[in-house]
Amino acid sequence: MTATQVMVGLGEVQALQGDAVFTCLGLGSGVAVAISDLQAGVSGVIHVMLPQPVGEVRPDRPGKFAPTGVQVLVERLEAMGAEPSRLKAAMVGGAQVIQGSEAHISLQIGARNAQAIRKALAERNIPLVGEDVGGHAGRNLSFDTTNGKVAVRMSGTPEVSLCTLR
Amino acid sequence: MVSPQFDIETLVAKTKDLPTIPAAAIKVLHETDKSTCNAQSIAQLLMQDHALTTRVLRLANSAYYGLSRQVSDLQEAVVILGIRTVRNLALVAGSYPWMTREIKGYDLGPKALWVHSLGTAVGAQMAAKASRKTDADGAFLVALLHDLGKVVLAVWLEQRMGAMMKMAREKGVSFHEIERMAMGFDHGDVGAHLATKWNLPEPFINVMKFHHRPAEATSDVALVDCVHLGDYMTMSMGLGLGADGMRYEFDPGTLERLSLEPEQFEELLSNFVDEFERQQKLFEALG
Repeated sequence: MTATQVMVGLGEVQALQGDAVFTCLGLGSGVAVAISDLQAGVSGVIHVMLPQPVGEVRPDRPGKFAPTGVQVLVERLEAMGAEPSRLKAAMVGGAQVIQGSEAHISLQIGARNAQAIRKALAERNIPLVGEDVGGHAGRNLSFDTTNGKVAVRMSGTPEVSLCTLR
Repeated sequence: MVSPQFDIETLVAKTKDLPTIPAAAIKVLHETDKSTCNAQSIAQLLMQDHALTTRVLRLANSAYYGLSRQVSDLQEAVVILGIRTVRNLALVAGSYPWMTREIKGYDLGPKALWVHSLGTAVGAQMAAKASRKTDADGAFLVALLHDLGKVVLAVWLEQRMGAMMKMAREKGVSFHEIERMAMGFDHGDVGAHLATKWNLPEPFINVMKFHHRPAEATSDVALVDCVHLGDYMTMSMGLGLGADGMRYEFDPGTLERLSLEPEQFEELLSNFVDEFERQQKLFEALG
């Protein structure tokens, strides 16, 4: 059976049972978080845009903010049969424009996104197996649940393997 | 590292397949600056270009504007939608064909420059609305063409991008500074040069030239600041990122000059993608 191709857009949460290849394109300061219980065969990816809730959360963008996005994805995975103690995660993205040393912390969206996701995962005791965050380059993530491999591609460079969610 | 081989004039002269803006659209830009401008004068100018008129009417009739019936008369469209809206639609319709091309030198796939340009226009419009320091529709308009110079520089960069990005990483500087080190000018200067040749209004020239170094602008400062912020929002959301990625410096002075608090900016960013996607749907009518 061929794996389902799943594209994860800005602020989206995608989760499913079975074989899938998740792709998240155009990560700037946003962070893609892949979470999986491969033993149960359930996996998902969110594309987080901002570190904390500001304004409304549109129903079609439950993954917009880090804490609520992680919460929604974990709830969906558990509803599909994931065992909380077996969940593992990886994250990619969190770049930002060059900022001077006096840059206001609010403007460091990429770093704050990554930090908020680490916190949300730690609160649920979900180990972060791999991460490729920071810098000034856009990234794409792909997560193949048939082998658990998470890979990253930066613009103009070949795809590199980041980790395996097993 | 400055190349002695050419200046901007030579570079532009050597570039094949230069982008163009329909003459009728440029006339409309100038017409809207006149006190005598009215729906009839705008319609008459646009109707000199049949293809442009068709595209503007297609946009005017899109679901975005929710008109109760189809409008087939351009002057009526100007009356209903307003002069500034039709002016903006004319510029979008006139630049869309070249903006959706692949820009290999910057590793921008088909439509990536369009996505980035529209994103910056929407972001600049939102920043202008929030700050009330400049006209929001005007900010959208000038932001749309801010990266015009990339289309020209891309041809020259195709074989050199890897080395230039390596140098930018090693030196830890903004990519436009590397362009200046390598050539003596950056994509903002090239855009401003082309805008001058095309006889675009002055604010376009200032915005193109200074959008990566807004503190140096002496005219149209609020517009330049709004476009700098719009560009920052667009890069942060990963819209139309190329090989140069987010390797551009943010000037926090833009927020101070626009009287925006950093926290307020995060709220703008939160609403930005929704507004971008709303406007992107409108322009899908262009094909």
